[in-house]
Formats: sequence, structure tokens, C-alpha cells
Amino acid sequence: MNRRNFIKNTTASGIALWMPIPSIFEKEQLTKLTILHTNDVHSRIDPFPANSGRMAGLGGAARRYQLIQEIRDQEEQVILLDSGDMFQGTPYFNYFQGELEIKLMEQMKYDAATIGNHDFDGGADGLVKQMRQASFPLINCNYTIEHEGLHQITKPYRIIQKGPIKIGVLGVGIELDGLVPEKLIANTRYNDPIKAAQPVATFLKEEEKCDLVICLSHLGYQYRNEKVSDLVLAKSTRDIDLILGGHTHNFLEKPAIQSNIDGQPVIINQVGWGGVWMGRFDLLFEKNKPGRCLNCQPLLIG
Amino acid sequence: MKKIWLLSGIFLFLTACKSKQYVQHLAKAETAHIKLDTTATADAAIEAMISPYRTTLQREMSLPLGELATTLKKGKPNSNLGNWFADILEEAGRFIFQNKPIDFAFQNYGGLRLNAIDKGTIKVGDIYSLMPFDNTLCLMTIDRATLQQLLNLMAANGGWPISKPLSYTLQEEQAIDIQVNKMSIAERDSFHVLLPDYIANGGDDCFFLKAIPRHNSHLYIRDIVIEYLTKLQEQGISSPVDTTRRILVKK
Repeated sequence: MNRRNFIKNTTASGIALWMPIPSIFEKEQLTKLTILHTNDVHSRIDPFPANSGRMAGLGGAARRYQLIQEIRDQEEQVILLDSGDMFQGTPYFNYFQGELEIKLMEQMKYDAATIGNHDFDGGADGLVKQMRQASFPLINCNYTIEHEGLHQITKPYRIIQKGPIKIGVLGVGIELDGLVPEKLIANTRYNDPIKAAQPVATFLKEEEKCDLVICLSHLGYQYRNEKVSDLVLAKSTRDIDLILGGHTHNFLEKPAIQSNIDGQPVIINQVGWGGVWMGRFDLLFEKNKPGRCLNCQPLLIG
Repeated sequence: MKKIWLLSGIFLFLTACKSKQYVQHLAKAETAHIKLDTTATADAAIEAMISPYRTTLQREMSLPLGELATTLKKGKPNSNLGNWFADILEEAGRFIFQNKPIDFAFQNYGGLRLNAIDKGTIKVGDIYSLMPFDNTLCLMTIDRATLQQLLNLMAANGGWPISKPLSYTLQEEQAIDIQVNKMSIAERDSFHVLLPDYIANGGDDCFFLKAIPRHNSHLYIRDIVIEYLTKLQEQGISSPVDTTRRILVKK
């Protein structure tokens, strides 16, 4: 009997048996969610060449794909996210304008990416042209986008259902003025990321009842001045659980934990640049009553 | 019959309450940074997908651009790579903006993306790696106060590559004793500066340059450097590497 027939034959009679029967004796249900993430890959399709110092020989899209596939084979619930600056940094971008970068991300089955300043380097038209090959959206909620094509492919958030876990993903980007030539951004305007992200995060948490709210950020990890960074965003908002950052190319030894405006922990991570690291989180969720969680531990990152 | 309906109604009601009551607690988080090094295997199908693109690039990128007698290294405040690059910008700029006065050229440190170019044959690919950004070369005339502000910013950043005619002393993140062609800037009111359009447009905190008029060559700096090196190679000349310290550091 092949697998398809087996499923067909068992579902009809088996469904009633397998329906979970709610009971006060029910054991808590645990679900594992694996989050994989990259940032600032900067068109590094090949591993870094030998003259790249500490980066020499590291990275490479074919290795990243292989690794992602291995993890997808092992884990049931996997999401894959990028925090911007997919483009610019090698001749692959200068010659082919990001065609191969997006093609590869599509093969790797990214679920979402936010917009980095360098993703405008081929102009808004160029970004849209390449993203037409992709089935994943760009996520940003703090840019006012006038460019019609870019407006179409950019969403303020995306909700991803993985098994019983509902994940809300929002995105924020950095001030473009002074970073990207005006003619490339097609009147895209930057708005305060804190003000823009808060209502979206609250909507995802309170209205959509997402179990996890992830903010993809291209703001940068930390600044000496008043500029809004991931750390500032975390402590100035609520309803964001995880910030996956980019732009400042930090190789964080381990993710940072910052208390939000309500004193709740927010995990912040960034994995350098050039695709030499891939970030991985394995999150364990316990389905239980509010305030009751048998496996909950103080959020320690280990 | 009514009873059954009532019972199932209560049952459904309870189930609904119950499912609403339950939430997913984030109980535990484990994390790892997976380093993609030489021990990681590369997927063959993806390699095949990249291959035609790579072949085209390799052909273009391996074209030679002359010989380097010494390895060029990037560094702050001075470096032979920085000097070499800024001097090329100045030389090429004088050719591009013919008949216009030019004092010096500079390059923002962050715009140079290679830590070193090995001695031996320079290739087109090295220049792409060094200057991947599509920055164009501009010429701008600035007053003394703006020059001071610009150099203070460079000093606060630890020193950016500058071409030979310019020198200054870096003290407590400030630029002092600034000279152009060995003459104090106090003697002059305006200065003609070659720079990337990225900086002219206010990049890297140079917002004070944004409103100043400029001539834009509309030529990519990368292409300018490649063309300059190609010309030297045709004449059999290797590009000069000047190692004089243009920025002195005073503690």
C-alpha cells in the first residue's frame, strides 16, 4: 500500500479517534518553532575570497541552501527571514542587478524580507523588477511608498501559521535621506519606526492573537546618538517578542535581551553580514492557560 | 432529542471557552549562530544555478590592471591603500574635470570595502570588491568653515583617505593645522574638492554638504579607477603608491 492510499484509508475512520478531546487532565501541548534568519547578505553569493581577512572562505549561497534544507528535513515548523540589504557588495549585483540574489532566496523559500537601504541601489524599479520573481513579500511599516510597483509588493506585516503557532512579522527600515540617492527611492519617505511599529505590533498581538510577534529591522543595533536602533525600539514599544536586525553588521556573540516598555523581555539578534553566519532560534511553545506554563523558564538565551 | 441538542450545545460552548482560554506560552528559547565555513557542504543544484552567472563574472573580473609592488592595506588614520585610492581619484578627477581648479580628493572610509589588495597583478575584480557601490565622482567648491567641519567629521571617524595635497593633525577627534599644498587653510576662503556623490548628497553624516552645488561627472568611481589603471597599464607604468603620512596624530 502506498502512502497516499494509507492516508486516504485511515482518515475517514481515524479522524474521530484522533480528535483531541478537551479535558482538565490534558497534558500540556508543546510545539517547537525554528526560526532561521540572515541580514546584510550583500550579494555574497560565493564564499568570501582568500584575501578577505577573518571572512576568508566563509559564507556562500549553495552552502546556506544545503544547511536550510538539512534543518527543514529535521524540524517540522521552520520559518526563514531576512532583515534587508540583500543587494550590493559584489559584481553579481553590478552585472545582474540582483536577479540571482532573489532567485536563490526564492529557492531557499524565504518567508519574508524587510527593505534595506542598499536594496534601493538598483532604484525602486529595479527592486520591484527582481522581486517579481519572488513569492515572499517585502515587509515594512514605516516607509510611505509612492512607487506603485513597490507599494504593491510591500506589506506592513505578514502572518504566518506554522502548525498551531501563529506568527506575526512586521518590518522597519532606516532613514533613507543621506543614505540613498533621492532619484533611486522614488519619493519613499521614512517615518518614525517606533510610532509606525507600535500599532502594527499591537494589532498582531491583540487583534490577530499572534503567539509570537517578530520585527524585521534594518535600523541598526545600537547608536551613540539619539538615532532609533533595535535597542531603542525594543525598550520603547510593547507587543514585540523578537527583533531580527541588520544594517550595522554586528556579529553578536549571542542575542541581546532588552526589557520593553512594560518590562517584558525582547530578544534582539543580528548575524554580521555577507551570509557567513545564519541565525537560528528554536522556540518551545506550551499551550496552556494564561499564567500557567509548566515548561516556562526565565528567558535565558543559551 | 431536545436533551441531546442541549447537551451538545453545552459541550460546544465549553469547548469554545476552553480553546479561547488556552494560549501559547513562549516557554524556552535556544539559539545558535551557524557559521558557514569550509566544512559546510554546498548544494549541487544551487551551484549549477549560480554557475553561468559566475562564469560571465569570472571572465570580466580576471582582466588584469597592472602590477602592485607592495600589498595595499586599509587602515586609519593613514594607509597605503587609502593614499593610493585618493591619489587616483585626484589624478583622474583632474582629467575628467579639465580646466576646473582642483585642490584635493577624498574618499569616505566606509566606501572602501576591501581590507587589502595583495601585491602582484591587480584585477578588475579587486576594484569591484574595493568599491562595490555605484558612487559617482563629484567636484564641489566649499568655504573654509565647511572644510573645517568636514575634516572634523573625518577626524572624529578616525581619518578618511585623502589625496596628497591635503594634510592635518588629528587631536582629540578634531582636525587642526590643516594645510593644502603645504599652505595653511587660513590663507584661503574656498577649496575645490573631489568627492563621492554619496558624501556630497549628505551621506555618512555629511548633511552640511547637501545644499552645496556640485559638478557631477556621472561616472562611477569604480569605472574611473579601472579606466585609470588600464591606461597606466597600456603605458607600462605601475600606479604610484605614496606612503607619506598625511594625517599626524597628536595625543
